[in-house]
Parts: sequence; structure tokens; C-alpha cells
Amino acid sequence: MALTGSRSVLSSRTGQAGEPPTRRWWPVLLPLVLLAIVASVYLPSGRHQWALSLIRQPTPFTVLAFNKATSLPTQTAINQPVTVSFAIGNREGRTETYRYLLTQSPSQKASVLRQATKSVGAGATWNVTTTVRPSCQSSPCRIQVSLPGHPEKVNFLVSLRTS
Amino acid sequence: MSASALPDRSGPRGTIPGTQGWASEAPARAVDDQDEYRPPSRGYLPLLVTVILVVAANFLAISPQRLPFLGPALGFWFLVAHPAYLVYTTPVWRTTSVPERLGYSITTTLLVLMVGGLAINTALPLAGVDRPLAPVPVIILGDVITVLLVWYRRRRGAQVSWWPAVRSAGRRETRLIVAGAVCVALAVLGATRLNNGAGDQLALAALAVIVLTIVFLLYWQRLVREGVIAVVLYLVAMALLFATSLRGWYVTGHDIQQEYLVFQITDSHGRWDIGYFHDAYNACLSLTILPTELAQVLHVDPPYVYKVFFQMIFSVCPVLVYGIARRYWSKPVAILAVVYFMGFPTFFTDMPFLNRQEIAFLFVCVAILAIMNTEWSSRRRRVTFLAAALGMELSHYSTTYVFLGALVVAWFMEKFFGLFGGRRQRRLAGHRGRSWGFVGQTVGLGTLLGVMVFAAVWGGLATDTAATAVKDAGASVSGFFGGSSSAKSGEVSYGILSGKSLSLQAQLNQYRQQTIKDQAKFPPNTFLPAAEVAKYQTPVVDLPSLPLTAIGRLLTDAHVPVAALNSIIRLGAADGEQLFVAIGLVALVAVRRLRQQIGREFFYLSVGTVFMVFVNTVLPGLSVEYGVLRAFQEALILISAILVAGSLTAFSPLGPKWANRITYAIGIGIFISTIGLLPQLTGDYPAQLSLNNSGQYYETYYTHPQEISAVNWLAMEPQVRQVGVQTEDFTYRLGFISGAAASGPQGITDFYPTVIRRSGWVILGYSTVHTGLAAADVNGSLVIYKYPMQLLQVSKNLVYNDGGAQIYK
Repeated sequence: MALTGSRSVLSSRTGQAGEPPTRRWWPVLLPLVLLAIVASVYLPSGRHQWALSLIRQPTPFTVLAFNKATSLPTQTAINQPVTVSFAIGNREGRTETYRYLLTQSPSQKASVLRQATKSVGAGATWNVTTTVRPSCQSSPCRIQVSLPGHPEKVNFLVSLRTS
Repeated sequence: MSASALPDRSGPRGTIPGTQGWASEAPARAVDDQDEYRPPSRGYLPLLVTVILVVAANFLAISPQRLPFLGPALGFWFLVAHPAYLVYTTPVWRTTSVPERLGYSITTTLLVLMVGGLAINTALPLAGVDRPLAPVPVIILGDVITVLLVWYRRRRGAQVSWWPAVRSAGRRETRLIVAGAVCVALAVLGATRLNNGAGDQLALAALAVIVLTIVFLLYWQRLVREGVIAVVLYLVAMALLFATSLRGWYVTGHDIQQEYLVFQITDSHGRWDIGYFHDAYNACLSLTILPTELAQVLHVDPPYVYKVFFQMIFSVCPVLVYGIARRYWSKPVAILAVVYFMGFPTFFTDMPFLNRQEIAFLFVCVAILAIMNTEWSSRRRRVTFLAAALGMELSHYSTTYVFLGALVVAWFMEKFFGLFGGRRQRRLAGHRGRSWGFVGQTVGLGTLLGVMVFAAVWGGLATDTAATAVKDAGASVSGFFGGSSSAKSGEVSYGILSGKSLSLQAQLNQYRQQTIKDQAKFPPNTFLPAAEVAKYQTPVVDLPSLPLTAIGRLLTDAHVPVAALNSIIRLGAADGEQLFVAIGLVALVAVRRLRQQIGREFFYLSVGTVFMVFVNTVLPGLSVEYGVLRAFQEALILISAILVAGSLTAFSPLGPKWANRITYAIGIGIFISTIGLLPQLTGDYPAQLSLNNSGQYYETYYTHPQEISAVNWLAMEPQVRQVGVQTEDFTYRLGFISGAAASGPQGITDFYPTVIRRSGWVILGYSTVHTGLAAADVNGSLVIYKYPMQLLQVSKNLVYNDGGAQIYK
């Protein structure tokens, strides 16, 4: 079909009239594509694939951090109380039960200084403030907070002096 | 004078066999003869629809209501697409081709938005408006632009209408446009799948459909109108850009992090001021005022202003490259020229991370189109050229400087050959017809001085940011004459004339020694104890290549070394492209018939851009600060068609049929390799960001949610910037670049072991936490090395950990 008056946003036709007649493909292809899409949406695995291609999927993770990272204790006496404050943030997208362990190293005997467990809702944060009494074999002593079942750990060094 | 009007086109003398027919059959025009034409009036319906849409865009921009997809689309139409359409359809650009008209329209709109934004940014505070770039002033600016353009267009009469063209689209044209749209859809879905940790199937399918679309575009080019070719190239370019730009849910890439910072500074203040952050990036209005204006009407997550809408704008660039090539050459040569332009890896792996340069490239294209316009008066060409140069300078200073260098070379050549070649040319004109297709000169001394004044006023007086560029250039020249070989980017290794550069390990060792030496400038005990640091080495690591695929295993079984094959194709492509350019330039000089088909100034400018690539290769500092690949991408705007012509010339001894076939095959073959399709199908090659969740760019530039969480946590700590943050500083990926936290100096330095401060914060990103590797930018080369995690563990407190990022204090 030639352009009327050959004035258009697009430039004038160059050989369109010479096109041989061919079979239209879209009346066949379009229903097939639509059928495939409907079938894929109907199947759970297909729906999952569509979701992966269309919608951002959440990235689950857990945040573990000291609350006052700039004022962590740097030195103390053996077996003297040290206040430790940290937060466990649940970004897993579902309620999680967290258990924290406060340990020290280097230490010969069982080094768990404190532990507790709590269920934390999705998006919520569990703030913990507790005291420990470090008794490492040598100085400096590393106090570590870990979450069994999760890879996240934080720790700090404290110099021990004999009281 | 148009190319079609040139005399003596058929003479056999000086013709290279095989190159017949690659000159333009006829200049590509939008409208052939518009002098007396006025389209039939369709009453006030279009105006009424326009008013309704503009009112809707105004309402959505100022209301808190968010209309997903439709709202941003309407906002983009209101501020960019509709003004560009109004400009496009005015009689101002009469007798210009579709791509040329498109280029003038879109860059006029961008220039008006930047200059208009600068005007309200300057004037409104004087009237007591503290936030001149807030939604209401920006909407009023958009309304004023729209009203003025509608008024002008109705007064002068619209010259073109689009509906008849759409209705008359042929089957092949429809198929090509549908294929282009499918490319875009697949690229978007493919990037989303990869971001969600799924496979590369759709991203790979997008590349396959892109290749098929290009092949059929070449095959059917005689049956496809210029406008349809422009649309198809636009869609293909957009698909390639989206495949990279949409990777990651946050800001992903190198320069884009700092680009995003200056955008956020302007957006959060509702005003642009160079004083907020005195940095060259902040002097680019394409990164400050323009995205802020767009953000006010789009209401999308701010990173998507760059990730989507800047890419939609920049996708016009290959169409303009087609327009430039089409000025002198035939459709297939022009399409192949665009294939080389888009297939150059910098186009789709780096340009989405260089938004300032994306906008500047559009102005470069328009400046070249203006120079090449044979129908305009020299005054009109110069005015258009200077307007484009102003837009270029406001968008990106470095692009302007490189372009200015090419202009100076072209001007000198014009003068030199004018002095010494004038007699010979007059003789040629007398005996054998004119020597060049077009001898009009646009860039004279006054024009050159005009561009220099723009650079001096904006970069010097207004923003005081040009000093750094001048310093870098000076250091580069002194480094060259001083024989410095260390500060040379690894990119130059692709150059034929690059020479040798130091190994990455040697460069990293030099960096280590330099940092140890620099410690003397600081007070004692600033850094970790040297004795402790000395225990830890940082060996350079090669990232693993992609595993062999089924196709790769088949090839291996057939004793085809896959890795070597991919490397040979890539290196062959790099060398071949440079060789073809050289052959093309020589052919244009040596063969009178070929020379008669192009403009003299175009040729000189092409030589100028090649010279600037050469300068970037040999001057050590420039290769680091600007980059050879970026310079070559800029040069390809002009020389991609000469490259194709060089290829045709090289194979012309085989006869016209085979020269054409081989040129097509090489162009498409290189494209299949460089866009990543071939390496992804075979494996055993470095992974590409647009196709994988691995590889150098992914490990270095991809931002993860855990990293954002860590940066947000750190931003809440006291005195962070004063104490200093150490990380992979060159990526800016872990900087305070979002929202209200975005401010000027980041206080971020490198975290290489020898420079770790005792009191500073250290952030380890996702890649370092999971692979134990870190990246450093050493003399412009990206160096991946094994990071000594143990050093931090024995020296500092691990105060934050979310599995994907760790912070030490």
C-alpha cells in the first residue's frame, strides 16, 4: 500500500509494491503463543518461572550487629562484668527463631558465656543487652556473638588485665 | 549539494571492484518536498487529546497517587517524548532525513530541559523559591515548553503526520518491528530472571533474536523504509542497553555510582549548586538537573531514571549513527556501520554506566549531522553545530574535549591542504570534476573558538571543574615525554600500536610499594602495623571462565579449542576493526571516485577522531582518566561506515558479490561474538554481566541488598565520614549515595592492606565475603586479588555481619 501523498514521519516506500503475497503467520502463531502462556500460568512450575521473570523476589538474610560499635569495651579485668549490646534483625521474610551464643577465645574450658533464644517476626529486630565476664587464657580476649544455624557472627577484642 | 546530484558517478576510473553500490543511492529524507504541503486538518481532536494527557501528567506528577507503569510512561511522554515529537513535526528541519530529524528533535528537547532547568534553578531562588527543581516548578517548565511548541507548530503548520505511515506498514516492516519489540521484552525479562538468581535463558534468547532481527533487516533492506529501519535499530539498541542497565535492583556499574550521587544531591536539595559537591560530575547538567527534572514527573525508584529512561533516550544514538552513515553510503553499509557501533563492547557493557556520556554522544551525533548537512547554509550549520556543542559541554566535559581535539585536527588539515593542495584541487576540478562530494566548511576558527569558550566558561568560570582535566592532560603529556609506562590502562592492549604494559601483578606490587612510601606523610600509628601487614600477600587472581556448555564440549571433542577460539575471534575483531578503518581512510584518499561521494570536512573529522584514539592510546594518563575504548566508541560515530567501506575495499579483489558477502559475514560474526552470544553458547570465556551472575563486572559492580543494608547501618553510626570508611573505593558501590544520606565527600578510601587505618571503618562487600577476592583500580586497570581476611580478623572488631556484607571497626 502506497503512502497517501507520500508525506509521513517515515520516508517514502522503497519497493513495498514489489512484495510477493505470502501467507499470514499471525492467525496461527498468536493463538499458539497465547495457549502456551495460559498453559504455563496454569502449571505451578510455570507460574514460578513467570514470577522469576517478572517480579522481584525477596533476598532473605539476617543482620547481626553491635548496637554501639564505636564504644565497645577495649579493656577490662578478668571475670569483671562487661556489657554487650547487639541486635538481631530478621530480614528472612518469615518468622525465625534465633538463638544467640556469646563465647570467648582463647579459652580451655567450655567458653559459652551467655545464650538465649527468641522468636523474631519478619522484619522485626531483637535488641539484646547483656553482661559477660571474660576469662580468656590470654590477652587480648575475643568475645564473639554467633547465631547457630546462621552463618552470621560478630566479635570484638578486649585486653584483659589481672585485677 | 546532495550526494545524488553529484556528477560523474559512473566512470570506471579509480573504482575499486566490489565497492560499487555502497555509496548512497539517494539522500535519506523524511519528506521529499514539503514547501507547499500542509497535512489535512483533523480539527481540534488531537489538541484536545494532548490537553487531556498533559493535564493527567500534571496531576500525576504533583499528587501522591502512583500509577505503576502508566504514570512513569505518561511522565516521560510529557517531558521528553511529546516535546520531541512537536519539534520533529515542525517545518524547522525540512529536507532532513528521519534519523537526522529525530536527532535534532530529541537533542533540542534535552538542551531546552537542561538550559530551562538551569534558568529556573538560578532565577526562582531570587524570587524566594528554595526548591526550584521541585515537582511544581518542573511541571510548569514542562507546560511552558509544551504550550510554546504547540503554538509554534500550529502557527507554522505541522509538516508530517505519522498515522498514514503506520497504516501502510508492510508485512516485513511489521515483522521487523515486532521482532525488535520482542528483543526489548526478552532483554527486560532476561535481566529480571538473572537478578532473581535464575538462569540466562531469556537473556540469551534476547541476543539471538537481536542477531536474527539484524540479519533480516539487512536481507529485507530494500523493502523497508528509512523510518522503519530507524525504529528497528532503536528497539535493538534499547534491548542491548536494557540487558546490562537492568542488572541488579540497585545502582549497578562503575561511573554510574558517582553519577547517581550527584543526581541524589540535586534531588534531595531540590536545587543544583556546584557548591554542594565541588566535583566534575556535579558540573554535568545531564547528571544533575536533567535526571532531577525527570524524577519529578516519573515518580519511579530513583535508580530507574538512569536504568530505564536514560537508556530509552540513548537508544536514539545508533539511529543517528545510521543517519550519519546514510548521508554518504547505501542502506546495507549504514546498517552494518550501526552493527559495528552497537557491537563494540563498550556500547552495551559500559555506556549504561556512563549516563553523562550517553547524553553527550547524542549531541556529538547532531553536531556531525549538522556539519554534514549539504542543504543548509553554512550559517545555519554553524548555529546548529554550536547549539549541539553547548549541549555536549553541559552534558559531559570529557566528550567535548575529545571532540574538540578532533575538530582542531580537522581544522588544521583543512588549512594545511588548503594552502598546499589548493592548486592541485583546482587542477582536478578543471580536468576531472571536483575532488570531494562536498567542500563546504562548517568548523572555522570562529566556531572552534566558540566551542572553546563554552568549555572555558562552563568548565572554568561557572563550575571551576576544568582545572582537573587540564591537569590530567598536562600530566599525560609530561608522562609521555618522561617515558612513563606504568600509568597506562590495560584497555590499550587492544590497540595495534599499544606497545607493552606491565603485568597486573607487577602493577599491584608497584601500588603496594607506593602506598608504603606514602605512609611517611601521615602521623605514626595511623595505619595497621607494617610488620603485621607484611605477613599478608595479595596475589592477583584470574576469575574463572564460564564452564563449557554442551556446544563447547562438542567443539572440544572435535579438537576445537573453545577458549582459544573465543579469544582469537575477539582479538581478531579488535585488530580487524582498526585495520578496516585504516584501509577505509586510505581508500578514501587514494580513490577519487570514493572521495567524490563524501564531504571533505567529514573526512578530516574522521581522521581527527582516529587521531584522538591514538592520543588516548599513547598518552598514559589519558588512557587511565578517559579510556581508549570510550574514545573508540566516540570515534565509531563517525568512522563505523568507513570501517565497513574498508572491509569492502579489503575484499574487493574477490569481486563485488563476494566482497559484499564476506563483509556481511564478518560484521555479523563479530557482532555475534562481541555481544556475548557465541561465548555464552560455548563457555570457557569470561562471564558477561548481561548474561551471568558471575564474572568481573558482576563481582565488582553488582550491588546486593545486604550491602545496602550494611551501608544504611553504617550511615547511622556517629562520625563515620570524619573517621573514614575503607572499601573498594573506586566503585563507589558502598558509598552514601542515596536519598538524604547523599552528600558530597564520601570519606571513602581504598582498603588495600597497606592503607588500612587503625581507627577506620572497613566494609567488605558481597563478593569479598563470599569469594575472598577484592578489586582495585590500579592505573585504570581492574585488578582482582586475594584479600587477606585474616589481617582484619586479628586487627579489628567485626561489628556488623549480614551474610552478604561485613563491617570492621
